[in-house]
Parts: sequence; structure tokens; C-alpha cells
Amino acid sequence: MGVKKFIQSVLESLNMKNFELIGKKKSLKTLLQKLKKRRVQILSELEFETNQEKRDLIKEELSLITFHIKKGKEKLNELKNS
Amino acid sequence: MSKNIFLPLVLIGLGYSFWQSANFKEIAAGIAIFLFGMLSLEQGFKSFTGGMLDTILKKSTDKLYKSIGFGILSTSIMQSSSLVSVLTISFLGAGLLGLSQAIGIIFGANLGTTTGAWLVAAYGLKVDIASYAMPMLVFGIIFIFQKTTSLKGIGYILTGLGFLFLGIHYMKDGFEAFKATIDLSSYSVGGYKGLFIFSFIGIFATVVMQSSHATLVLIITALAAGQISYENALALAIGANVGTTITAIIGAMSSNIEGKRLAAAHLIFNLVTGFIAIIFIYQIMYLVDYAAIKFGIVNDNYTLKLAIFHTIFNALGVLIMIPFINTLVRFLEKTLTTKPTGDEIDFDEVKYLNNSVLEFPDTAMAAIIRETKHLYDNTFEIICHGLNFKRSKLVSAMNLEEVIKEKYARRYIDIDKFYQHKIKNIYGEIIDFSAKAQSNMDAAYIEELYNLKLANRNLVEAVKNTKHLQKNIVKYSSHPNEYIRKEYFDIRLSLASLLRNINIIATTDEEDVTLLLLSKVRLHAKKHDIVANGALDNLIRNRLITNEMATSLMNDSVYAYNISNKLANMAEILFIDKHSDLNKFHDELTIKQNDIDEILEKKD
Repeated sequence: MGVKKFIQSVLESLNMKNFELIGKKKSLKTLLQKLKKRRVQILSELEFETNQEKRDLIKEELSLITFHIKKGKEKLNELKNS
Repeated sequence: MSKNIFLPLVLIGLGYSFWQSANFKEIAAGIAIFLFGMLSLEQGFKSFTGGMLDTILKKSTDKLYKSIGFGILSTSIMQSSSLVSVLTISFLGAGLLGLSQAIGIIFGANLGTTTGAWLVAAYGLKVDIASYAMPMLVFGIIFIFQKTTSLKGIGYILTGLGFLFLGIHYMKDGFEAFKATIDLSSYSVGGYKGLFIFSFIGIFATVVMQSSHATLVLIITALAAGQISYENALALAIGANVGTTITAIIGAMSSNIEGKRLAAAHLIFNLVTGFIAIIFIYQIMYLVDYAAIKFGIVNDNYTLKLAIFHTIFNALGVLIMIPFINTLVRFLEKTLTTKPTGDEIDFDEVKYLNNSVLEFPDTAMAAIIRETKHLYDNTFEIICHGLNFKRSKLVSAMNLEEVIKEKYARRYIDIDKFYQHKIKNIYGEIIDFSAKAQSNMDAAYIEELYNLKLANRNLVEAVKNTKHLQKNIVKYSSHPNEYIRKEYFDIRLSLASLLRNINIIATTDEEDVTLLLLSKVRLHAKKHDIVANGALDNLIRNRLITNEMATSLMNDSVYAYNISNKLANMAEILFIDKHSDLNKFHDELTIKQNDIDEILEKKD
């Protein structure tokens, strides 16, 4: 058995074949969690803000964070399907 | 002239000595092989310093006891306090370590080097280590011919150890044979006079060989062969300890002020330790005898007693100096300083780029990153003051409209002068240094370096755009036409908001904040582009501003847009940690121009 084949069989038996992919998914999930937390925070800020100008700025932040969460979810699905 | 004569004289002298004495030739060959082994060992360990260096250093040197422990461990493994000193100077020069942490490592390295004396005294002389050397050399060379860097590294380490063993073997044999012809011990000198004379010989030998380890092995082998007295061997060991600082001093010559301070700390520490050892030599010898009895070492086993002495006097030095580390740092910071230029605006110079950090790709990269951050600091200051903002107010939570009303100075600063003093030189040095560092780097590092060079260029261009913008800001900020005044007020407001966001990105550890603010910066750049948002058309159509004002406004809007984009591009490179989750998905998550248009359209 060649060295490459041996390493491959060890990785397979330890269920570590997709090690890199698993790590990527985990990183993305962590980042998505942080973004979702921030979104909740922005939503609560918007709820209590009465100044229209500031409300507009918060809404802008909300649309940006929603955009990033959407992009993150798309990437996660892509990783799950690969 | 003297330099040109010195080398041939030494070579002729050595050649004559080899011809006269075969034993001296054997000892000298032993030393040469030993030193070559150390070079090979250093080369091997350098192969393993890449990648995790930054993380390991941060974790293992954040407290003094950890720094000392790191010094002990690394020197014990690498068997070279010189390599650890040079590495430490390199890390310090790159800003990866603070001075007190670096001093801790050097103290530890002094203790770690005593393990070498123990190994040689306990095993090197009793076991036939030359028989281990041969297979090591064979395996080592086979590994060196492999393509993988780690295998090559192992190869160099094995070859290095092989040569070290072989060197010790030749020195031992040489002294044994020497015994039959010349008795060097007849030249021994007793008392304090002997202590000083042999300490200086120890210093000289170490300065010549550039390795206290080699000197110590030479002392132990000579002592084992009875060629030097025990007392004189102790003095030689003290001298070797002082002489080893020469490596750090040479290393620090090409380093920045921090490296020079460390070399001075090393010299002070080893001099103090050496003096203490000489003054209390008889008390320490008593302690050695006591320890030898406790460890079951026979009274005439002088080589092991020398190892005990070496450990005790280095440990004593560390114990005595630990309470004075902060005083030592303060003293060095006060006495070793960079010279002020005396100019109205001080010429700022590079802080982290020096030849000592070029030794390793990791330290070179760390130094370039830190220097780019230094350039960013200067850029931030120039843009703030160039637009007449108070930096301290801008980075506070103060309302931005109030920030821009509170002026930094009555007259706008001369950006060109600040550029010449605080940007141009540093930028040039970074580009020059990057070219040098690149020759030592692999593809991944080169790509990172390319991005860093782009970040530097972005910073420089942001300053240049600010310079162009400043002219009309000065002109129109107090203009009687309220419409043009308002437009320039809005440009300043939008740039103040940009600078505040960039500053948050530079200082936050929160990845979501970084991502959000980077998108916000890009969105605002587009939103405030008066050419794109139609505001300029409106002003012209309604004849609210003159044609000259319109042209200026159009150009300045482009400058403001450029500043925003240049700083955002720079922040993406410089402030997203390469090990972070965000960095892995930055391309997928980051906002693109069409996304911005979409968001802005929805708002409308």
C-alpha cells in the first residue's frame, strides 16, 4: 500500500475525509450566528429609536446585515450540497 | 588594511600549527565540525519556525515566568542560545514581542544553555557518541535531499546533531592524545588573578567561535583530559557566558532600537552574572560540592561538577535579576533612544523594518503588517487634520456634525509637507523591504505580500486625494453661497463618518462589526456620490451654483469617493485577520457594486 493510499484509508476510517469541508462549515455557522445576533440587536435598536434620521440609518444597517445573512446561508447550502 | 592582513595571518598560523601538531589539528577539526553542526542544526530549526510562530509566541510569552520557560525550553531543544537570541531579536524587531518578554526569553535561554553542559558531561564523554553520529549523518543527508520542507528540516537537524557528536569525539580524542605530549595544566593560574585571566580567555574563545556551547564542550573535554584545572575551567565557563552576548550584539546591529536594547540587556545580565560568579566563586564552589554529594556525584568528577556550577551561577543570575527587569527596561528605554531630527514636523521613520526580521518569512511578514498599520496611523492623522477634524473627537462617540464644527487648527495644514515627512519615506521603505523579503518566501506569502503592497498604495493614494480635495474645502467651507457651502459640509460629514467607521474596523475584534462597517463604508461612498445620486444635476439645473463651482464639486466628489474606496480596500486587506472565519468567506459575503445599487434602489 502506498503512503497516499494509507493516509486516505486512515482518514476514511476515522471519518475525517471531509475534514476541511467540515471546518469550513463550522466557521461559516459561527459567523452566521454572530450576524444573526447582531441583527436582533439592530432590530431592538430600531424599535426604541424615535428620531427619523437615525431610524433611516438603522434601517440601512438592517438591510446590510440581512444581505450578509442571506449570502452566508447561500454559501452554507452550497457547502452542504458539495 | 588590517582586516585584509588578519585572515591570511590566521590561516597561515593555523596551517603552521597543524603541521607542527597533529593533536592540535584534531582538536581544531573537532571545533570546526562542531560549529558546522550548529549551523546545520540552526538551519533545521529555521524550517519549523513558519506558520504558527505568531500564535505560539503570543501564548507562551504573555507572562514573565512563561517567557523564561520558553527560553529554557527552546534553548534546551535547539541547544543554541545564540539561535534563540537571534530569533528573539528578530521577533522583537517585528513587534511580535515586547522588550520585557524578550528579556525573559534571554534569561531563560541562559538557563537552557546549561542543559548542553549536562548532556556533554554526563553522556558525551562516557558514551561513544561518534558511533551514533554516522547513522545520523547518513539519514540526515537522505532527508535533506527530499522535497518537503519539514523532511529537509529533520535532515538538517539530524546532520547537525551528527556533526556535533563527531566534533565532540574529535575534541575528546585530540585532548587525550595531547596529554602525552604537552601538559596544558602546567599553565594553570590560581586565585582571583587566574579567575580573571581565564574568564577573558573564555570570552575571547566564545567571541571567536560565536558559540558558548562550543566553548563549553571544549572546556569539558579539556577538563576531562586533565588539560586544565577545575578552577580555571570554571573561570572559562564564566567567560563563555559573557562572550556569548557578542552574537546578540552582532544580531542587534541590523535591528531597530528595541533589538539594540535587548542586546544591551543581554550584555548587562551576563556581565552582572559573571561578576557575581567571580566574586562569590568559593561560596558557589561550596554549593556545587554540596549539590554533588546530594546527587551522588563523586568528588573528582569535575566535568559533572562544572555542569552543576554552570547551572547554579546562571540560575543565581536569573533569580537576582528578575526583580530588576522593569528597572532594566526603563533604564534601557531612557538611555538607548532614537535621535530627534529637530524639524518643525518630525520626520517619521519605519519602526519595524530591519534586517534582523528578514531571517524568517513569518517575522518579515509580521513586520510589514505592523509597518503598514503604522503608515495607516499616519494616513489617518493626515486625513483628519487635512480636513480640519480633531482626531480625538472623531474617534469618540461625539455627534459628527459637532466634530466637524470643532476645528483642529485655524489654518488648514500643509498636507504635502506632512506627506513628505510622514508617508513618503515609510512607504518607500516598505516597498523596498518587501522586495527583499519576497526572495525568502513561498507562493502563499508572496500573494499576501502583494495584497499588503496594494494596501500601502491605497493609503498613499487616499492622502493624495485628500490633498486635492483640501484646496476647495478651504475655498468653499466659508463661501457666501449657502448651497456650495452645504455640499462641502456634506462631503466633510461623509468623510468624517468614513474615518470613524474605518477606525472602528481597525480596533474591533468583532468579525460581524467589521463586515457590516465595510459594507456601510462602500454603500455610503456610493450614496454620497453627488454625480451618481443626481444632486449635482439639480444644483446646476436650478442655477444654485456657478459652472466653476459645479466643476469643482464634480471633481471633489470623485476625490471623496476615491478616499472612501481606497480606505475600504485597505481595511479589507489590513484589518481582517487572516486566521479569522471572516477571511475564509470574505469574497462570498462581501458587498459588490450591483448589491449596493440594489439596496439603494430599494430605499428609493
